Amino acid sequence: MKKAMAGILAAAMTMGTMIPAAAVSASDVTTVSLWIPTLASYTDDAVASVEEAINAYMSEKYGVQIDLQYIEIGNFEKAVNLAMTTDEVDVTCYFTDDGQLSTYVANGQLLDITDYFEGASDALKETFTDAEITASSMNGRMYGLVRKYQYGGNEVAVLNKDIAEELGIDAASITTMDQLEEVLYQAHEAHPEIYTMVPQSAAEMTWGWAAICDRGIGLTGYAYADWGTTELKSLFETDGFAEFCGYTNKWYNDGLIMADALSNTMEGSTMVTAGSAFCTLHNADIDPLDKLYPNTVVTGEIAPPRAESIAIGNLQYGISANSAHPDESFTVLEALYTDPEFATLLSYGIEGEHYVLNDKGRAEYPEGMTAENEPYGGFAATAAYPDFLILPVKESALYEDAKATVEAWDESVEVSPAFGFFYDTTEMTDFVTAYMNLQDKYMNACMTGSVALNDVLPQIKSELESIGFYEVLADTQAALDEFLANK
Amino acid sequence: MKQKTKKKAGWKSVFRHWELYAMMVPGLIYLIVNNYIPMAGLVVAFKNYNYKEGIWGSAWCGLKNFKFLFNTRDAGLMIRNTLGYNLIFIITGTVFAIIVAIVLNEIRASLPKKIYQIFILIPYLISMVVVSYIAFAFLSTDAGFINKAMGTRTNWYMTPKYWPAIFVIINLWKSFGYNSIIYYATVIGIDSSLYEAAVVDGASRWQRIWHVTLPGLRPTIITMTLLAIGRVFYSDFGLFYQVPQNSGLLYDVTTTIDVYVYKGLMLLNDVGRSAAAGFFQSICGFILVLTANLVVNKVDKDNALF
Repeated sequence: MKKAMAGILAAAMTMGTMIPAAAVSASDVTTVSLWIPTLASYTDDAVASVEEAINAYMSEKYGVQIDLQYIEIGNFEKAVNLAMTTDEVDVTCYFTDDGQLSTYVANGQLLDITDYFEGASDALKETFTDAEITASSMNGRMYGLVRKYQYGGNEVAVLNKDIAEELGIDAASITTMDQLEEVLYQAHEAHPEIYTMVPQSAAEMTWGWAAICDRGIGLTGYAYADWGTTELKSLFETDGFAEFCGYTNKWYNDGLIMADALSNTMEGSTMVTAGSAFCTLHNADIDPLDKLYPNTVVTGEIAPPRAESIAIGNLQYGISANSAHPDESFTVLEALYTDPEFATLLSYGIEGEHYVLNDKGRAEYPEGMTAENEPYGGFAATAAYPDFLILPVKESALYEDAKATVEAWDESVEVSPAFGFFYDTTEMTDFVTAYMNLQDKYMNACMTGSVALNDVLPQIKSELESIGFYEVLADTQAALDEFLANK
Repeated sequence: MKQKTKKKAGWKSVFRHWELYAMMVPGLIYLIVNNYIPMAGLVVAFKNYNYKEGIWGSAWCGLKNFKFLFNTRDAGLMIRNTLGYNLIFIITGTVFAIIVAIVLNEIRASLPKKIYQIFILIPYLISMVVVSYIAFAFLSTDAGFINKAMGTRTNWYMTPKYWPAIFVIINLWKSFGYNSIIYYATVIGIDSSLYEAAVVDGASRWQRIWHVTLPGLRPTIITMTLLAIGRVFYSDFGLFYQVPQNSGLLYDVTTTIDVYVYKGLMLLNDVGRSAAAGFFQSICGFILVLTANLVVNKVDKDNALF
């Protein structure tokens, strides 16, 4: 009896290990997985109900279903890279603001969609400008579609409203670093108990580069130039970086910048909103920052709107090269930009449940719902989705026509003269690794003012020299000059 | 002939108890699928990995992927840090865990003993991310416990010279509970008649520890040390990356092989180089274990692993 039982148990356990997962579910309609980073919180129930609504619509109209995969933004790149080694991912968002497009293409991670795009509907083709197509292309081939969004940004400072009002500061009149400095000292004197200036996020003093220099030239990650020039330099030797760090180092030494800026883990806007800090720098564009961050006022432009090469289309959507359903994936990719009903369902959720349309036809939260308690975070995190221009305009927006506003903004932006230039670093990965480590070592330390650039510059130069930086930069400069001559 | 008979007897035994052997099959399948088949993937360390082509379709590239670990001016730094910290961790961790195990053994009351065991094990169960916030609560310049208590304003996250000591303290705090319980399990297994005989011979408490407990612990110390040596080329990524909050100014003392590989390859998504780094660490660890075991074999054959 015992032996018989043992035999049955063994057989059951062995069978259990052998049943393929695929046998559990089967469907005639192709399911395409869609990976999106989360910029807000989503409950499982809300995602499931939105997915169900999308699938009812998509299976009837396109014969496909969507498997929605929301991944926390901090882990997104790592999760997608791992998943792209298999056919787990079909359509995915990816970031390119550190020049990653060249890496994705070199590694064979993204499907070449040139032929699909050429055969696509006019509606899709007309969606993108030449610049946007260039931003998602390498060597004349297209690998994704850029998120429809305004280019680059200007540099502003976000100030705590209570303190600004108390000190009679007219935020809008501040348009230079010197003017900002003046109010920082004023606030520091009046409120020494709080941080006067904090980084925009964690140890990063600012996400915007409009006030510093042009970066990411050639999608290399190591080539920089002062705005308006095409002479390549190391970041640490640009005039803009030196000037910016000159200010922050003075502020740091005078106790204006938080002492632990280098190990900070908080968002600057959160601290300013909460009143534990007075000011943080911020990159801004057409979205009203003071509406995003309550209890704040925003200064005038400290630096004008500018876009580095990598700022155009810095978030894109493409198809994994290992996708088992490339045709269906492109159908979904196309619908993301051309089907407002699908795009709205995906971005805002279900009407009446996650958002409502008011009598002006604008979208807003249902009564009692806010960004803090919404179950489907898409309404607050529209920036993560492919095309907000085909969605209903939000009640909080300062414009009537999103498309016209974005186009007007893009017209006003100073775009890097090196835009469109690509320098192949595929065979230089050792150098790029060494460089990235070196840059990480000094960049935030200098930008937060924790160390004086002049004190460490000789050491930085010697380290750059030792990894062969200047030889690589000279070659990159020659290639850029040739590109510019042929442009 | 004798061997043939033995083989036959062996198979006979398998047939006779086939149900018991059959119960082993799922575990065996799991072990092969989970632990051995993936080893074939090590081939990726010698390939120019292309996501589309996959592991087998990607082109061979010889030892190119291994070069990036040494083809940098940081090579000496990261190897020095990795080996240096591990050696200190092994020495301090072993000594401290043994002391705690002996002290636990000397406690007679059973309830306090159980409470101490639980408390010293808790740090081992805490994630390194949580540890990084605990460390920050101590080390923050403006609000940190240490600066407040001492009335100073030391910026710990900008001063590399303190961090080797900080890493040793954190590692010790986190790991000694687990290790000491392993040593304690050995201590309580030592034959009590040896202690009784020592008492009869007039041995003091120190003499009993020195002449009975420590010799009894020797096999465990050797085994634990050999296992630790196998991992000296690895480092606790959380300890060296999360705890110092990836502060750039600390890179000279926080860059270990794992941290360098992570930071360097985060943007490059280079599976081949990552695999090469892991392969290099494993091979070096394996060679070190073999060498250390060889030495133990020469000195004390009974306590060698194999």
